[in-house]
Amino acid sequence: MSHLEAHAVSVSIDSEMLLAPVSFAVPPGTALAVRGANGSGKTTLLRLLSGHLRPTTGTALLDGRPVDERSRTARRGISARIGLPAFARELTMHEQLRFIATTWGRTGSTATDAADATMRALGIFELRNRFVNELSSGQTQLLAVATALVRPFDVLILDEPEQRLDAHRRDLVAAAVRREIDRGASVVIASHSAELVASIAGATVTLGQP
Amino acid sequence: MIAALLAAGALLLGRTRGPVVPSPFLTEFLVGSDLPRSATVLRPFLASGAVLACSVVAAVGLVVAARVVGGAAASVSAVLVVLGCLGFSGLLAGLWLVGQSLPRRFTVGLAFVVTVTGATVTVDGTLPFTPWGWIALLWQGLGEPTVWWPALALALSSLALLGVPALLGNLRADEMMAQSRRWQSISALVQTGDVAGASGALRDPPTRGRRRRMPLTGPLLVAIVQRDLIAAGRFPVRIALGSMALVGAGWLTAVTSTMPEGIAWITALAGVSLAYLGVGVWCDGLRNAADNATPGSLYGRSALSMIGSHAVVPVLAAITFGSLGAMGDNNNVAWWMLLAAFIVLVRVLDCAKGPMPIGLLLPIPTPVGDVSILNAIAWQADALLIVLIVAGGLTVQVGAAGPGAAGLEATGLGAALWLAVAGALVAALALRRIRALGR
Repeated sequence: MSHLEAHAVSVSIDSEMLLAPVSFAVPPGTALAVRGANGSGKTTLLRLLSGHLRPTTGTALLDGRPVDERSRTARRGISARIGLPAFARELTMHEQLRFIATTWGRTGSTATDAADATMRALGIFELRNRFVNELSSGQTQLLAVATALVRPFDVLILDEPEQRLDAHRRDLVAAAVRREIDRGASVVIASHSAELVASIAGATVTLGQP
Repeated sequence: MIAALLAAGALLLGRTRGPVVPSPFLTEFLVGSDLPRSATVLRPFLASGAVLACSVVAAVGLVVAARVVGGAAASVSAVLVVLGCLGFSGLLAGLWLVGQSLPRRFTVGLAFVVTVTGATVTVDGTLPFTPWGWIALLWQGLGEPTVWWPALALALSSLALLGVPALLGNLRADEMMAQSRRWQSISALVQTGDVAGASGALRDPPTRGRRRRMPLTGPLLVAIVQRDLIAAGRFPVRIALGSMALVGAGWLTAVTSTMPEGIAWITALAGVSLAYLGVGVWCDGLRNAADNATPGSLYGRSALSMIGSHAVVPVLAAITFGSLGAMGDNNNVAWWMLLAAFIVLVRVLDCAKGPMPIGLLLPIPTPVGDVSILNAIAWQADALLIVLIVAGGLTVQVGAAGPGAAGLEATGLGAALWLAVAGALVAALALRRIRALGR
């Protein structure tokens, strides 16, 4: 399992600061909640931790090495869901998840089992034969979360997974994420939901306006 | 045959873009009223019908006038042809509305029947029994003794418009609104230069085949081929049309070598254009792989590996269906296989295009006005232009050698070499675009 840490990371473009310097560590089997007002840099921080953005100052490390999505190890280790992904409209929900699992090396029945387990955990198994255009916005959000959970990972990064979800579905997401923490995964989650943060995260970092 | 194909096309078009498509605001307002739908949406239907009638009369009038001026047709016959086509446009408008109003299963079946009856116009004695046969009779009558009754029959056939109120009353509000919203989005996308987005909005989402098992077994390449083939089966009409287009493209490419010098370029360009369009229906997986070539991809393999694997099914489809059209001549099939691989490469290039650089929309003032639109058009149409210039041009060259092995040896190998060079350049450009998407 992997250890994620950030040392005084900040992001600015020209003279505009998008993320004020922040430091923290997320050991295996723990979760960190990132909180803050709109525009405080939560999504920027998550993009930085997933290796899709380079910090202007400071360093983000995965097991002591700078996080960079060009590294195969980083791509395999970090599963990040920031915004809605590009779904394949010609596949059903179950097929989308099986196909994603297959591309990550879980072939045949292993991929099917992973898709089944993820869908059951998020309460969307009954929707397995639906195409993406047949989902409500909340169901689409659950499918987006499922795409991050169905593949193997050591670090899970989720950006406001509670969006468009009712209280029951938020609880299902929280329970699914807790299972990953219990398995030993490091989790970073940005959220505006106090209940979700309380039920998942052991530590919280609150970003101020940059 | 052309008239029958137009009628079948009108039936199939109705579900994607029917004659009753007001703006979303008007649709909301009109369909929510307590007045009968035959009254509230009659005006949009009449407007669409009038545009259709004017277009048909203008096109037919132009051709007929040219023949009258050239002395190849009598003026009375010409007037009868125009009047007959005007009546036929009423029938077309009615069929277009049938396509929008009635279930797809019925309209697809009807379109098939229309196409089959259209294909039988060459059989002696069948012409007097169908509207497309009447059009053919009128057309034949241009240079011969005047036949008036088909024009009268066509005028009477527009009495089918009496069924319009019932068809308008059968229109569903949600489907009308979906078409209105879709066409508003397409207008916005075309105005901003996003033709790829606009063509994506035209593709209906799948509704069938969801319980067909997708094995996803074996090596990833095999799993991706399984995925693309099963997913293609969920769009039977689209896939059938695309595959028929590929067969037609193969045939057009093959007959280029038998065409006179001045005509060969028409069949060659029509063939490669049709191939480019036809292979597009097999590229859904390719497009999804390109969409996921950006940071945060869903998939565990590199963008290049995913895109390369998803290109297998389009190549197989193009080779298989195009070779059916080019059947009978090994040299034609060999040339077609090279073309198919090149055209799919160009499809890959097009899929990896990404959004249009905003710089292309910056004004370019010249003495004749702002010509920035030319940049935008060239960017949008680059793939088709490459296909037309390279594939079309080289097909003309191969065709000029004439049929037979000797002809192919003389110029075909040179053309194949040039095609390979062009393919390498397209592949290099596609690779650059794919890498740019990942940044």
